[in-house]
Amino acid sequence: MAQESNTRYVVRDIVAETPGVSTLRLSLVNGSIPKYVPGQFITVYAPELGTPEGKAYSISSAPHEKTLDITVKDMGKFSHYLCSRKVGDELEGSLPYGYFFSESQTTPLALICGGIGIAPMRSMLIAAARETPRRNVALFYSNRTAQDIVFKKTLDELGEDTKNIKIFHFLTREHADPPAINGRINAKTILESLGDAQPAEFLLCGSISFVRDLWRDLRAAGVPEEKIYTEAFFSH
Amino acid sequence: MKTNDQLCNDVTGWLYSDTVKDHFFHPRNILLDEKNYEADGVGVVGSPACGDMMAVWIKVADNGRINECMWRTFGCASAIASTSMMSLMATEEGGMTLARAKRMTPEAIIERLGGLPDRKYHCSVLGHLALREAIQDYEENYGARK
Repeated sequence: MAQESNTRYVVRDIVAETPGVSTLRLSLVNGSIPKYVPGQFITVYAPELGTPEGKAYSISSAPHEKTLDITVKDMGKFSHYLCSRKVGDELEGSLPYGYFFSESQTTPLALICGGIGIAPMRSMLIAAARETPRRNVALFYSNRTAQDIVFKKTLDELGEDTKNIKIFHFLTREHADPPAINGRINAKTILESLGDAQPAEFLLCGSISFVRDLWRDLRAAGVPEEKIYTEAFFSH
Repeated sequence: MKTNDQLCNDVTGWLYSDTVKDHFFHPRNILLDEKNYEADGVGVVGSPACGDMMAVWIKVADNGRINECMWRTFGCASAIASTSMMSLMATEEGGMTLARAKRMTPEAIIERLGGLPDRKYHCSVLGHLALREAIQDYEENYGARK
């Protein structure tokens, strides 16, 4: 599954999610959607910015949805370029790629993310609710403030409508009203929330420091290396 | 005063650890003559036009464990050190099973290196993605187990 480039996407819609965060809804030029697995990403290229290197963006839509979505935080020259695209604009990118997904259909999942790291988790949650509703999935999502929570309405609905999906919000820069939790995500809270954590797999997505700290915390708490999947991005 | 390794583990650290320097100056399992090397699986990721490129060759023993993991990169010191360490981790103590090797993470590689500057994180991703591709190539060639 080598990563293919030179794929042309068309921006079909743009959705403002939270201040500074937008979802670009894409399709291929012919209107179709390439196959992908929740957790995969596409690499987007913008040679007009003067750099040949692309940047990877996790897919936030689920495979059954009508568009292939990437959710972008406007935090630099490249992401600002993406957030400034208009409906009908074309983008150069790769086909979906990556291995950030559990190969099991049954193990309990702990999805742990910070900020825009929610993007691949949305894809996994929407797909799980539809394809494997009996699977236990818990989302542990950290943000600075309640205003920063991306996909809040969708997450609330998933938590209310799907018995085996649990949503835990953590706020680090303002008081959190229950059931949201004050402070940073930590292994102790995750493991206590899961109950029997032994069979669970843990997927971490966020800034490099967020993923590194939680990977270390989970390892120190006794979670085996092979139970942890990571996806990290440079954010400063 | 902080040691070099402590500085590398800081969020703001930018120095290379002694382990990174060792693997950069003395890379393990580097393959310079792939024409005369018969691998069970090959993985190539990246492109020279876009920066780094990485190739990984693996051999798998009859017990399903990786007994050789060779590599070559067009990349920086961090890519060389990360992939050298990755190749060591994949083959030490009798070699990883393919299932275990698929679950090797950049964080595990970086931990063994004594840290990497955040800006060099992607260098460790390249090696483990190439390993993943080599395992996939092996499984396509031989099935899930040899």
